[in-house]
Amino acid sequence: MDKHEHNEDVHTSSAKSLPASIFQNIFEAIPGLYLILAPNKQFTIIAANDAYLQATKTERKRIVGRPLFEVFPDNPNDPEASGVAAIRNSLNRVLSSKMPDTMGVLKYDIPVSRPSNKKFETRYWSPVNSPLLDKDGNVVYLINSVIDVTKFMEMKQNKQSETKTTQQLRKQNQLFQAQIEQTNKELEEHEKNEQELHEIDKLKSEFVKIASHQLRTPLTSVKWSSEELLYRGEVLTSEQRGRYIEQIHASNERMIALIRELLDISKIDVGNLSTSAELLWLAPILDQVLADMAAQIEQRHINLKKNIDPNLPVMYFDPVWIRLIFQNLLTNAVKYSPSGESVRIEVSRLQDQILISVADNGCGVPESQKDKIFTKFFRADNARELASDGTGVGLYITKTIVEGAGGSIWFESAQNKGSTFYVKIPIKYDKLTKKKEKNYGRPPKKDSDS
Amino acid sequence: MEDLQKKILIVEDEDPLSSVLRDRLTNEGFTVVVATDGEMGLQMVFAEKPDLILLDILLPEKGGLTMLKELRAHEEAAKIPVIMLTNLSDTDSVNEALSYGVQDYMVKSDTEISTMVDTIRAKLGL
Repeated sequence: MDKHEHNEDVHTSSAKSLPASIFQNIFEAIPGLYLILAPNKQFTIIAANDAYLQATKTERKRIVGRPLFEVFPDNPNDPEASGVAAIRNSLNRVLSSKMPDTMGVLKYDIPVSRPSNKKFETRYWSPVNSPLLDKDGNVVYLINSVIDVTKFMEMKQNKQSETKTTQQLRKQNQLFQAQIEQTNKELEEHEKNEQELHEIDKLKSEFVKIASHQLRTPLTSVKWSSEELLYRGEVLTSEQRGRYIEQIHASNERMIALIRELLDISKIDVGNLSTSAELLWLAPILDQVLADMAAQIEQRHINLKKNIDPNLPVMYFDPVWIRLIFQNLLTNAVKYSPSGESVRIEVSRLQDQILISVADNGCGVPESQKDKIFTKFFRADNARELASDGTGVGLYITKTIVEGAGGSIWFESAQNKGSTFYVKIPIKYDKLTKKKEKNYGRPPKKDSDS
Repeated sequence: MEDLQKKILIVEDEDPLSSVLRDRLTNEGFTVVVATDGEMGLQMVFAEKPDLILLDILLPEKGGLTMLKELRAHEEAAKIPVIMLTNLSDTDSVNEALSYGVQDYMVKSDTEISTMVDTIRAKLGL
């Protein structure tokens, strides 16, 4: 006890040996940042050292004696500012615990001149609040010591933004790479399209070759038959004369049909699918197509089986197009069937659609060429071998018509076993047909009576 | 006279064309046989031993040019004179046919039957 008192006496005596103003000078000159606060509710500022004043851009006479948070309010421009609350909490903790309280880095902006200016500068602080106790352990003062870590935080943020920049660059890079890949893909696509165009060009010249050949065949027939009739009529038998005249007629018909087909495809090629739709019944149109094909069917001894739903509704469709659908599907089936085989055509109703199917026991479509079968001018290898006169446009025309009318076409096929082609087209009865019926009183009677 | 009758094989799938030709050539004193595809044509070359062949190009089963190529591979049959009678007039077809050593190449729609008869006679040395 004595010792203790003695020690204290040493301190006191040495302190007493210096004038009090010296301590004030020393405090004010210490390079750290210190603020002395009263332990009251407002935390009145008692003293601040020079470094503190400098760092907070304040003057001693302006702040001493004033409440802390009046001098240093939160930055009203920063909605996330929480310095006041954080410091108050920390100081209250010191008051109750009487122990120093080290706070984390705190953003606490300082007013540039006066708080009323609302001009603040960004500052980051690392504060420690500690109590100054008297002999009885009561808090006499609170010491708020802070380190200005603004520069450090800014560097850190720069680093973060640098990292951000790096990330952005990386993202940009990825974007560029993706674009390059896309461009490459487009180039490939372009080359592929070019190739396809080239292929179509090839198919087209093949088509011209075959079409001109097909025109030349009936032309030759007319030429030779008429030549014989003209110059050698008296030598010919009457059977020959009659046959030649028939051949001239048939060849002429064939040319007309071929020209029509060429016109069909040119119409389709310019996208001219503008239909002149009218009310029609499928059965009589099919009968007409079959009648036109009678010679062909007979020549190949095809056993044609027809199964038409007797309750088919009236359709609203272009009769030329529907004829082409029947004609193309049936011609293929007959042409590519072995002599004596059967071809089956079925027409039925599927809700608001008409389903047409044409099945044959013919050569079928080779597996490797199934995806090309609807391509313009394309002819499968085996079709080429079986019949030299196809132009390769029939299925293309059919598909274009069917899809143009909102329908679909597909097929099942096995090589050397046969093919079945299906066409589904909408009836379009409800809206259009009823309106027409109203206009004309009743559906027009067509070839169905003949 | 019967022995002197020359035999002509027409390989042609278009009946209206082959029938007029057959009538005319028969009337001109030739013996005429007709094949309607390349495969049949090849068989008839060996079975009928014709003196001259009129050969189309676009034919079912086996094309005329393929038939010609196979024909040229046989020692005996290779000697039979062949006149291409086709409606294909593109240079590729003509050149290929000529490379197999055909005696003539005629485009059907550009040729009168009388001209053809004259040509056949000339090729047979009649």
